Amino acid sequence: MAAESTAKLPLGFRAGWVIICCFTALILVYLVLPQFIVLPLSFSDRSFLSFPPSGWSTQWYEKLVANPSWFQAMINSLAIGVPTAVLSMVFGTMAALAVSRGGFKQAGVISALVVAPMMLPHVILAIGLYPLMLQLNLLGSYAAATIGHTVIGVPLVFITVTAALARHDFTLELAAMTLGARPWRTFRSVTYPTIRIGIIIGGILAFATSIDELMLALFLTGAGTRTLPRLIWEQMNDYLTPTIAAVATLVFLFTLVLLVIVALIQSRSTRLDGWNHD
Amino acid sequence: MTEQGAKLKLSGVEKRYGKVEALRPTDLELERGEFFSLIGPSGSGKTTLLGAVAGFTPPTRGRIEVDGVDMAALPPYKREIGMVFQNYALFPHLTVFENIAFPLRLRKLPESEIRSRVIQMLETVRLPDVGGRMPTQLSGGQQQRIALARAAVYGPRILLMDEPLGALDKNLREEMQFEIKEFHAKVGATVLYVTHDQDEAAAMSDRIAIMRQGGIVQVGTPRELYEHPRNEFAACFLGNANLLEVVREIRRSGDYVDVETPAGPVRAIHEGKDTGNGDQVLCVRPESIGIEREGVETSAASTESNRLSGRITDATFTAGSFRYVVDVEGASPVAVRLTSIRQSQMLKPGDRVALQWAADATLMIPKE
Repeated sequence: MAAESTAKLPLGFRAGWVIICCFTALILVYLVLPQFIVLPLSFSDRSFLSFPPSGWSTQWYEKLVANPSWFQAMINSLAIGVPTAVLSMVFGTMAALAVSRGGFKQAGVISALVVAPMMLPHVILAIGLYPLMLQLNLLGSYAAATIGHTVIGVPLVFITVTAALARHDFTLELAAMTLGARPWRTFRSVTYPTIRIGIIIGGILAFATSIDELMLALFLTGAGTRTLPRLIWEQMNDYLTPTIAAVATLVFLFTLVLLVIVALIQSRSTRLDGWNHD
Repeated sequence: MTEQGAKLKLSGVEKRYGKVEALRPTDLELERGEFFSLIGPSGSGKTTLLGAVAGFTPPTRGRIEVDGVDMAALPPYKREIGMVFQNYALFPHLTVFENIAFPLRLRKLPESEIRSRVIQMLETVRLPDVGGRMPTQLSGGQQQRIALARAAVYGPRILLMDEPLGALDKNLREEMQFEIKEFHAKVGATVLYVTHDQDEAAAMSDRIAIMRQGGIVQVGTPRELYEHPRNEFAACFLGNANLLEVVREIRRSGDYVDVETPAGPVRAIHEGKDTGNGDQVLCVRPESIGIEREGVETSAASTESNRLSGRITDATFTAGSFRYVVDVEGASPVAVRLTSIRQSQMLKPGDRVALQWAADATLMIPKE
């Protein structure tokens, strides 16, 4: 009698488990698959974008390498992305420290303001920044795009660092101070090591966002500073060749690598919860 | 390592947040090497007072002197006052060894001395083998011992402890009370200890300050506070107290006062306190009251001056003592505690009983 009921129950559970797994797999396919379409597209033997491809070739990658404007766009993307990541890490961390540790009554409002650029449509920010950059005579410069991208990069770092700060309360810093550490030393020896992972992950996300961003790039970059997404967009309008798919594939893989790095850092940090210092 | 504790003196220390007075002007003096506890309900100002000494909450007014030197305006890192926190506050990214070494590295001691001091401290807290582990690999009690070691390793002459046992379960808490006392004896620092656990404070402290609504109600040894509470709040906060309303005073003779209560006349001692203004109550500790089945009069107990009769509503045995709750007409239920019990005192709910106790065990104190 007992054996019957215990045999039945796991079976029911197992059936439910299989259904949940299938459903999850479907959702994941739905989320991820469209992005992978560019892969076969980039190896097409046709001279326009069509799916499914009728044959295979690597000619579009060869064309990509042969065309210096793609290389220049990649350099531009990096020249904007790297400073964006650095500036976002500095300002995002400072904002997170202020909101989490500053004891402001308006911490909620400040926090909402910092995160707002991430939620609001980028086109609004782009339209706002355009005349400003025009006035400052920065339009079309690396600085203009870097400033724009930093606005949307700061919230990312702010969020990851705030999460890291929330894992330990303020008493860690108070303890360091009673032991004789001045404020800067307290930050360097106690606060920074506990939020380092958050800062790095936020920085990578800000960098990836900058590399993928189109709207601000359209408004703020010029012929000499156009980024990869902007060049892809321009090429889409003019020549709909699989070269675009090839570029998109490279950008996609690059971003994927960044995300894998983030995932690795995260799993490592939760496993060790810190590092051995000796 | 046995540094001499410092003298801590607070005079007129006050903390205001706008119009809110978190700490009323407070004077307090701790002797060298004393173990001093602040107890009180949450919001009574004990954490504010501790924060003022630590340097986290600079007082609005007042002096905080350590051996005569005013610290009130100094930041925490210049005070050389060790602190132990409720949540241990061990640095999660450093090993146990490096946690304890932290204050020594700040003071740029030579590596050999750091090593020997940390090892000595680990032995003091009886965890000699955990130096290489991360704090999260230790139990709560072990982590708190490491926190003690870290707070004391650089020889601060004052140690602050903010509910250090608050996060531990009951059995471990009692064990750690002993550990902390022993630690205190070894390092010799003056300890200012904050807790909301009255038993913990009574068991550990040389003296206690009972706090309430941002001010100190009474300071004294645990025994003084228990036997001579200044008012109803102090009486109820440290230990249990039976309170009887005072309807009116009948007469005074010497230290004694005869009082009319709703339950009948009672004789008490008044300790010469002014009784002219304000309401008074009578306080009787549960273990001061004798209890007998009604009609069974033993000669020893019947000589006591105060007698009431009532009916048992609850009888419980708790570790080491019997506790009865007796319903007395005209009074709130009276608790009686017996550590040993005679046959005639084996009682159950519903039994009619006679209560008697000495006038000397009855204290007339101001009501709140």
